[in-house]
Formats: sequence, structure tokens, C-alpha cells
Amino acid sequence: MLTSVFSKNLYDMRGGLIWWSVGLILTNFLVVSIFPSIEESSAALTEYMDNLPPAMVALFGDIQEFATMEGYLGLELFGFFLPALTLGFGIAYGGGVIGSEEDRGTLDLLLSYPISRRSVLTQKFGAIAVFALLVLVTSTLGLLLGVALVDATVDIGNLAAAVLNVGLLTLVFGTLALALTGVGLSRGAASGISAGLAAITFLMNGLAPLAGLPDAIRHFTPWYYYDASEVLLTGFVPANAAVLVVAIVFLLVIGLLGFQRRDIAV
Amino acid sequence: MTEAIRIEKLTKSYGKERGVIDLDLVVEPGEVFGYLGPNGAGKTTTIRTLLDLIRPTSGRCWIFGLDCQEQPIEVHKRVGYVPGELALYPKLTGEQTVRHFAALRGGVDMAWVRELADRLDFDLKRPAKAYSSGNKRKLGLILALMSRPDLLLLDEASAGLDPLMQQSFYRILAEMQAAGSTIFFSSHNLPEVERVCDRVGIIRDGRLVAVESVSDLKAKSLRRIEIQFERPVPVLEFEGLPGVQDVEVQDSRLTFTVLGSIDSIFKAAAQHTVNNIISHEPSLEEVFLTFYEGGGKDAN
Repeated sequence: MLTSVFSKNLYDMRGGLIWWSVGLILTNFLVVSIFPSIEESSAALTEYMDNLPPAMVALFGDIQEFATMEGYLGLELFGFFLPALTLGFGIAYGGGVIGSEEDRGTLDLLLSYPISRRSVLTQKFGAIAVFALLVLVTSTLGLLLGVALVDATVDIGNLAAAVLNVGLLTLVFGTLALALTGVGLSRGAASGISAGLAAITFLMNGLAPLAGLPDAIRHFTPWYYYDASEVLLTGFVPANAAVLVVAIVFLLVIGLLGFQRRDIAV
Repeated sequence: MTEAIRIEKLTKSYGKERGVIDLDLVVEPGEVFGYLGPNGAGKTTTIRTLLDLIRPTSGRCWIFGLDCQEQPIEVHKRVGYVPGELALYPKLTGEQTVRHFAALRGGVDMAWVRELADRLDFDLKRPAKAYSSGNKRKLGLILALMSRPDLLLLDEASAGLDPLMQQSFYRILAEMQAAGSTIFFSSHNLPEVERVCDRVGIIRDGRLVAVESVSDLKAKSLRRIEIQFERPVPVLEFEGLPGVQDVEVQDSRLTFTVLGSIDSIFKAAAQHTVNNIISHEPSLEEVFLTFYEGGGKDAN
């Protein structure tokens, strides 16, 4: 299990893997299990939503969609709650895989071995990506179990596409945190900036029209391309997913360039 | 034969902090080179530059002819390193740590690892966080020695070892040297360098002040000798001898200070019956201090 930097990092994350998987399985399961009661009272909810400020509706979606499982999941889970959780581990590990080794001083020893800095950073990125994949696959199984138990159906293809987008969005901000430690920021600064940018871009994407900002500004936020709520209803948008992939690769390259050039702290 | 280490005009500055300045140094293959200086003199900076953990402001360095900045992986294959501030993965046991780092080298001889652990009286089974600082240091040594590297870069490597383990460590180093390894041994512990090293480089405030063999260094220094004769001796017989100063005779006891060789003194003393000789050997510390006195602009 400890034969490479990749496997060593996954091994270090094994406790997190179990807890995040269990936590997200339960979250997904609980959200799905209350769908029948929401479905029944959708008329009352529509009335309630009509009275909400338009900003709330813009951020968290339109209640009309509550009538279908896809619409419900898009609003309740994929619109904010699920990515907010997965960004939590993405940013924590992104900032930590290099950042905590440098804080602790083990990076000094690691990089004295016959392994390139590029390889170290890429393998650590790989460990985060596999972690995200495992957590999302297991938690989606929890979601499907819930769907089956409440006797509902969900479009599997659209769900898979939405989960993929959650994974990509998680990696965008996780890789941002990783890249920031790569160029030399501390773990805390890298995680803080990444979390802050995640929140700001979420608000920009959701509120730009209401705030009187040009709609084009939304195109500069990862959330615009993420849009898992829409994907659940209408299906996979390859071009949008491709933008997220390009963003991840771009950030990884920035991190690599910085990491290869800089001094390692003791 | 290619030099084990070649450093040319190496300067490393960190903003306000001093690193090393204009450093030139050559270490030959197979020698044990002591790198002596107080904390903060630039020893760690030199070693971390050789390992490409930090990048020179100017200058270049090579290990076995390989450029440290251009070919770090090739360099690292041939080097074992003990960091001055050794940090380990707290949740891994000694054995897991060894296996992880061994895998990064493409495997090592585990029988040799167990022999090293045995000789250093080290228990590989416990997690790193349970190790005392001395035990951490032992694990650091095992990691550096396990691949039988051509060059060992040891940054204050024996700090924290008890005296018995230090002896084991020195014996292992002597065996490594006999087997052809080069050892670069940074320390601020002078008797240790005296004991272990062939040559010594003295660094202070980022500059290399001197590079000498240990014996030359000692020969350069003054030492005080006292000879107890059977009966009183004439002072004139000793006063004119080369390198001899401050001759004093008190009854049958002769005391003097000598610089360098003591041969002529002994030849002269042999004309008389000698009861006892007391030589106050200079410690390397005294030698070291002579390099410090007025040696730099901000000497204290």
C-alpha cells in the first residue's frame, strides 16, 4: 500500500474515505427519503416560494421543479448542498497533500529521494481524484437505494452526468488549493483562498442577473459550467464538462510550474 | 576520478537572512569530510542546495559530476540524506516508513535494514509518533544508509544519539567509507568531527573560512607541553629549538609552548632521563576559535 506517493496518500486518506462516504451516503439517502412528502405538498411550497425574495430563488432554484425526482435532487442536493460538502474535502486535501508535508517537514526528506517534484505533485493530485471518485460512487449508490425505497425513479444517465460534474467541480477547487501550495502558499492560505473563491463565484453565478451585472460574468465561474441541476433535467453537456476539465488541467500546470521552481521550506 | 562534490561560487541568499556566499568546495571520493560551523552558519543551506531542495542565487554544484540542479534525480539515486530537522510520517511505523522510502528507490536490501536496526538498537515496529527524538534520529540514519549510497549527506546526524549509539554510528560510517562511500558530515560538535573526519571545512556566516586536514589543523595550532625530568636541565638546550616559545624551567620541570612539530623537542629531551610528559592537546574547539578571532567583520 505504500509503494508510491500516490498509494501512500490514498492510504493516509483511508479514514476520511470511510467517513466521507458514510456521511454522504446518509445525506443522500435522507434527502431522497423525504421526497414523497415534498412531492405531496408541492402546491403549498409553490405558494411559499412565491413569497421568497427573488435572490433566494435565483440562488437555490425554482420550486416548480420539485414535482419530479430529478428536479427535486437538482434543487435540494446538487444545487448547493452536495457540492458544498464535496468541496470541503476537495479543498482540505488539495491544500493539505503538499501543504501539510511542508509544514511538518517531511517534504524535505521525500524530495531528497529519486522522484521528481512533478511526479510527487501529480501523484498527490491523482490520490485526490481517486478519493473524490470513490466517495461520489459510493454516495450515489446510497442515493439510488433511497430512490428505490421511496418507489420513485430517476434518469440514471442524467444522474451519472450530474455526479461527474460534482466530481469535476470538486477537483477544480481542490486543484486550485493544491496549485496554490505548489506555488508556495501555506496550507491555510491556499485552503482559505480556495474556499473564499468557491463562495464568491457561487454568488456571482447565482446573483449576477439580479445584481445588474452582465450575464457574461457568470461564464467566468466554474459553477456556470457545473450546473448539475440542469444536467439532471436535460442531460450531459460535454462542452461544459470539458471547460471544467480544462480548468483542472490549467490549475495543475500552474501548480507544477510553481512547485518545480521554488525553494522547499524546512 | 570525478569529485564526489564540487561547489563553484555558490551563493544563496534568502531576503534578509544569510545563506551562503561565494562558496567553493571540492570533496574527493572516499573521504569523510567534516563541515564545521555554528548553527546558522550555512551548513544546512549548502546541503539542501546540493539536494536541489533550494535553488542557488548564483553558482553551481555537482555530485559525482552530475549537475545538482539539472539532474537531481540522478543525483538523488546516489545520495543518502539525514536532514538536520528530521520529520517523519507520524502514523507510519518504522518498518512502513522504511518500506515506503525503499519503494521510492526501487527497493533496498531488507536484511541490511534489519542489521542496521539491530546495530542501532532500533525497534522498527512502532509508529513514528511514539519514537523519542533519539529513535527518530536512528530511523533517519537507517533511511539514509539503507541503500548503501555512494555519498552520505549528514546534517548534524548524530545529534540526539546517546554516546553508545554514537559509537555504533561511527563504526557504521567507517565501514561505509571502507566500502567506498564518501561522507559529508556537517556538525557543530568538534570532538566528533575530529574523531570521524579526514578533512574539515570551516564555515562561518555563510563563508568557507578554511579547508584543512584534521591533522594539519591541529599541527597549525599551539600546544602547551610539560616534561618532568629526573634532574634539573639547562634551559638553553631547549630555548633555541624551532617552533618553541615561552620556555620555563622550574627545578626539573620544563614547560613550553610549541607550534607544529614536536620532534626536535623530543630529540633534545632524550639526552636526559624523562619521568613524565604531559601534552595539553588543543581541542578542535581551540583551533576553531583561532579562525574566529577577528576572522569576520561581525565577530562577537
